Amino acid sequence: MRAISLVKKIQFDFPGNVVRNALTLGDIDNDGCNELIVGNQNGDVSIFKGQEKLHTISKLSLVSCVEVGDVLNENRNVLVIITADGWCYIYSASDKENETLESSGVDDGVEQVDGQAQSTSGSGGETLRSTDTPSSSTKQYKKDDDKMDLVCIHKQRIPANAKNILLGDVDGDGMIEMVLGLTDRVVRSYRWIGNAHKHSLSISDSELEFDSSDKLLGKFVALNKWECANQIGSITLHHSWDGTASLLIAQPGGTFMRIKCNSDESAGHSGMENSQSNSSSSQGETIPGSVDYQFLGISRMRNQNISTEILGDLKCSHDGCEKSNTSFSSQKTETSKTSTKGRPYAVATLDGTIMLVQDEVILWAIAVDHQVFALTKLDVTGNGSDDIVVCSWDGQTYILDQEKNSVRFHLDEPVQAFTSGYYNVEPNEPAVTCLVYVTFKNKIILYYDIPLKELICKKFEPDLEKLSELFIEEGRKPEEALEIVKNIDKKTRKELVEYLLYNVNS
Amino acid sequence: MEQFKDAHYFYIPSQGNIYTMTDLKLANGTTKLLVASLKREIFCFEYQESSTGLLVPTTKEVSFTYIPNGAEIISLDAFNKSATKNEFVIGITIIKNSNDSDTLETYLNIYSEWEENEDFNIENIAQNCLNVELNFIPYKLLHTYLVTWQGDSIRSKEVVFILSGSDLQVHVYREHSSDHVYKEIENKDYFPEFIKTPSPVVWIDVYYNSDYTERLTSFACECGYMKLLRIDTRTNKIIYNFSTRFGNYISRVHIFPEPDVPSNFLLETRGLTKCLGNADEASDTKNTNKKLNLIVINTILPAVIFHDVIEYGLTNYATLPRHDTTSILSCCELADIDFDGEKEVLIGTSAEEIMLLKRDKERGWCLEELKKMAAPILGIKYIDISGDGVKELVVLSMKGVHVLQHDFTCLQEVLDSKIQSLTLPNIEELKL
Repeated sequence: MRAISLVKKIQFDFPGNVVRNALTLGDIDNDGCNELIVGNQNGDVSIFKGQEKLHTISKLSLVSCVEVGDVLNENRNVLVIITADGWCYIYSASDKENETLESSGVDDGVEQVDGQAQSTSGSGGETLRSTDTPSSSTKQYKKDDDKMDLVCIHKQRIPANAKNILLGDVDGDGMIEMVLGLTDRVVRSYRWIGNAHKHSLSISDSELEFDSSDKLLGKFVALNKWECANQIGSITLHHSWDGTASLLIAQPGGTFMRIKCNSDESAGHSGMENSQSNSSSSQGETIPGSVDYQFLGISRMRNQNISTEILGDLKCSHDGCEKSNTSFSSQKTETSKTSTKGRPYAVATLDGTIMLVQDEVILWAIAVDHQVFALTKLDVTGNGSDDIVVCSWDGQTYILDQEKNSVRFHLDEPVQAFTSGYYNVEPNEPAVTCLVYVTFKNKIILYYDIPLKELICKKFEPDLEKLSELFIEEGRKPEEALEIVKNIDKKTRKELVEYLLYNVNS
Repeated sequence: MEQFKDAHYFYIPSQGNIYTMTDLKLANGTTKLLVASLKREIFCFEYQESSTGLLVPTTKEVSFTYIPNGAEIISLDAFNKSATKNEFVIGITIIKNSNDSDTLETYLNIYSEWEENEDFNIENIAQNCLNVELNFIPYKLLHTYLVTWQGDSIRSKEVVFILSGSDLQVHVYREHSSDHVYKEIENKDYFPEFIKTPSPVVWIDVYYNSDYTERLTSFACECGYMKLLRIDTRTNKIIYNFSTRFGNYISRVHIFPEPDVPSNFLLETRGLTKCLGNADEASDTKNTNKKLNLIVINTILPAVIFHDVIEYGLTNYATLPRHDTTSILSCCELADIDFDGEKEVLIGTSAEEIMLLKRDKERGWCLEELKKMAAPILGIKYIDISGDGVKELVVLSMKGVHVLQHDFTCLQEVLDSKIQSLTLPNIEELKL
């Protein structure tokens, strides 16, 4: 397998243990540049921008997930931090737009919305009630750093032991929801319900006495709860060929659970609508959407307990899709809607199997000798289709494209958390591809600008038409010259190329 | 060096040194790379072409016999005895830590195939070992021709191993084919230039002129002492003898011709012969215009290049710039990596960089570019390991071997301009 060494890197000091999902790349301050956000088990969350640490949020508890996204549906990114003991924090970079938007005063609208009503589990309701307890750390706005003012705009009690987070439109309503996977095999989804009068609050105004747990801006309302049969590996959002979103929940043994929670499904219709318009209604046992388990054919042969990662919605360039369609169409005669194939998704198991799956058919699988724990996607080569980037505990990283070509990179250190994505090293330059490793030595190593234009290596093939110009003589047509060049055997052509390159002065 | 892209990297478990990378040029035109690491592992790297035309890098650990546990490899060298087939001889010098006492045993192990062969099988070679016990610590191992004359004709031309050592001497090992052993020969009979030096010799370079009548030898020592000698091989007399002292460890000396004579190319295919280049001029330029230059890589001081050493000896020199004063220059390669017909100097440093120096008509040698690598650099080679006619930059670093391939779009552009220059109607303007 081809391997590369990487040179361009930035090292950050970041003490403490980092759990796998407490690491993300995203644009918190909405300036178009991506930052790196890492949280540790001591409750510190650091934001790195460019070559330096920009900001640290401390005195939280064990940070289990961090994610950046427009979870408030206000067309700006905020930082969501979930701690293992069940607190959800939202941090926002103060931006000036908010200050200009001033409107009428506050009323008691806050109290009308309560997440408890939507929760289908009794225990969840109890926990949610505790949001009213006053919080100890309230004033989180940033003082000394002039570059970024991060303010805790919201703080809410949620069920504890969240391990995965997903921000995305899971039910196809155009709004971004928050989906959490918990260590007790439960998946929960939440929606942000904003307070209609929130604009009266200027969050960037440091003079304002502002308690983030007051839920003045709004709050998360629980939408759904699903219980899985087994431990959750990872959660991903996937869209089928017609654009319907589904949640894929990785289950041990290379299997996964698929949840379709579309609002147009009759079963879940009422619940969805209610939560948006009149959130006080309780829908009880109605389970919106459909749930099915997928075993992916070969999984019976494998260890049923091996933990699994899944990653959906791999972007593929048109050519790539076409190619895989044709090559596998023979196997797929039953569901032969060749023009309406879904996007592929990737499944990786800890025993080192990496699979690319399309419409529940395994396109290919490879096995590596390393314990793969992190599965990410990144268009490393910049050819328009996503490559799969996986990392193992010992630092072995594999970059695979959708045609099964692979490149390896080895970080000579064990890794406790890994992600890949885009990062802005210099504020004025475009974001570059990067691989981020959190090692066990209190360091974060960020390799940027991965120098891979293509994953395959070939011999140099000269342009034969150009080469044939050498043989155009009197009484010989260009076509004949081309014919001559085509008939040159490999060794002679190689010698000719060598001679032209190294022995001819241009 | 933007035009280079990372083609491959392989990791070596223990670090090598400036002597532990060599290439094997097979009779069929392909090249393999042999890399040794300190703790006995020797890797053979090659590219194989898959059925779909992809280059598949293959790294194979070769277990050479007679390298005991705990031994450490110092230097490595290989050559092909046969001109038409594969008959490789691989020399490996090792230090063996003896268990009972503090004494070190050192050996020169010479591996060879029984007979010349169409197929190259490194496993076979690795099993067939001749041992030469040494009573010094080995340093640089290289091979060169030993030419003996009878009147005006060459009586014999054989390849010998040359090994420098901690006893401040340079030793020459010659094969006695009848006994099938390698024996040290007296230097003064054949190599009068190798005399006792003030400190161990780090690097030796030997250059023969085209008809083997003369030999240019240069070697440099740990203390900075450097010698350049010109020897008449027919009489074994030294024509000239220059020496100088740089006052720091010298890591490399390298004699290189300039310009490399553009040879003409004869293409024969299916009854068609086509000669590219100018056949008449090529033979003339060979002897007249070719100059020999000598580059000396100092580890701490700037590198020095001596131009036209046949004519000027060590007087016509230029100092190559270096951009920092803290790194150690460990190796160099002379290669025309931008295809302009003039060789550039590539110097590898301990600061994980490759310096690209280019000769400018007016300003002299200038630092053109710095390429960052992932580890301190021990060796650079510019060889065609992919087998497509285009050479790759192979870099040995402390962590492994990096293969850098030319970018294809750049190559095609260069090729286009070369073709254009050849197809220009006026032959006179080509100045081949």
